Amino acid sequence: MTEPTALTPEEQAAYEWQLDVPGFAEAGQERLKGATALVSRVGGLGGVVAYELAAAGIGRLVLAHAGDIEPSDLNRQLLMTHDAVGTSRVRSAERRLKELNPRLVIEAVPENIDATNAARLVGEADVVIDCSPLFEERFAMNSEAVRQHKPLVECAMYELQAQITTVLPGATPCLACIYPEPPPAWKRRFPVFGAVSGTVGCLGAMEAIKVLSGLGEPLAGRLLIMDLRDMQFRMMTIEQRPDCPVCAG
Amino acid sequence: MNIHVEYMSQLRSSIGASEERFALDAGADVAGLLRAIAERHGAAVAALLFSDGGLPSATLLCFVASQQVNGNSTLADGDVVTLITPISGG
Repeated sequence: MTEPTALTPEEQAAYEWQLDVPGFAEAGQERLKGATALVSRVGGLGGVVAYELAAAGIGRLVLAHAGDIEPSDLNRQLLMTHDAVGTSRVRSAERRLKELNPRLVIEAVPENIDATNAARLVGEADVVIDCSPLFEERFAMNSEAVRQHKPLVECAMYELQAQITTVLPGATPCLACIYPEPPPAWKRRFPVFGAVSGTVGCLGAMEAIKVLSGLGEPLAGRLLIMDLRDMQFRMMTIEQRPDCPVCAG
Repeated sequence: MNIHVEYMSQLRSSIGASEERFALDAGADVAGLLRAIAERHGAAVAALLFSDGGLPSATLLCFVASQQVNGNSTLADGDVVTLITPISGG
């Protein structure tokens, strides 16, 4: 999947704390450096995913997010700044990420994922992290990730709750197994704290790092659900649908 | 039999509680539990639980303990059922 890329002395110094992680080491860091992740939306959730991946030393990020920064973004979208309200979200994200990691290669796409661009953008990535609010975006990414056999990290949040799973095409349920149709009563605007989106964003980044480097066990076929109101974290088993129109057969 | 139900996401907000208990007839299934919840809480909650055709919504995640189940799954006395309506990112 990824092409390991040798580290420079500067990178060896920058990442020395994580190079000591058992099972990761320099080989894992080289795989991370050679990898590309697609992060769909860089808001409250995806912005934290992108920031953690940038900090960890991923080689390339493809960031997809349309629109300009609004004041109501700022409770959770940590890559956006007050002085940049009214300017492009994805450009603000690119700037902040490059401040953190100037070695990082970024393709900043001022578009949301849809059926017309999903194949191309998913095709550029070794892993996809889905942080999108709209189910049509999520379904478009899921279909392409399954078709192209790309791992897909599914992150979601609501109020003080969050959930995450990792789709490994051919081996686990896909998003269409979990939600086989658009949810009829779902609402675009929902309550959430930035600390909740940040929590699941960090977990999403960790899943991507694991998938790319071979470290640990991803959330394959398992849905981690969190309720930060009482700090309950629970692991649920999820099932493939034998009649799933996306991944069955 | 007694069933302990835990609500998450939009369903919890609509019901206004994170958990409830239901007394159901022996042999009841998950769909029967959902009907009992809808009867107790009315149309707005029913819209989150059922499709237009009256079947359990395909997008409602149902678990008994930590195992995913569907509307036809038979419940047992003391089961803990977790119901999660869809959530996303942003």
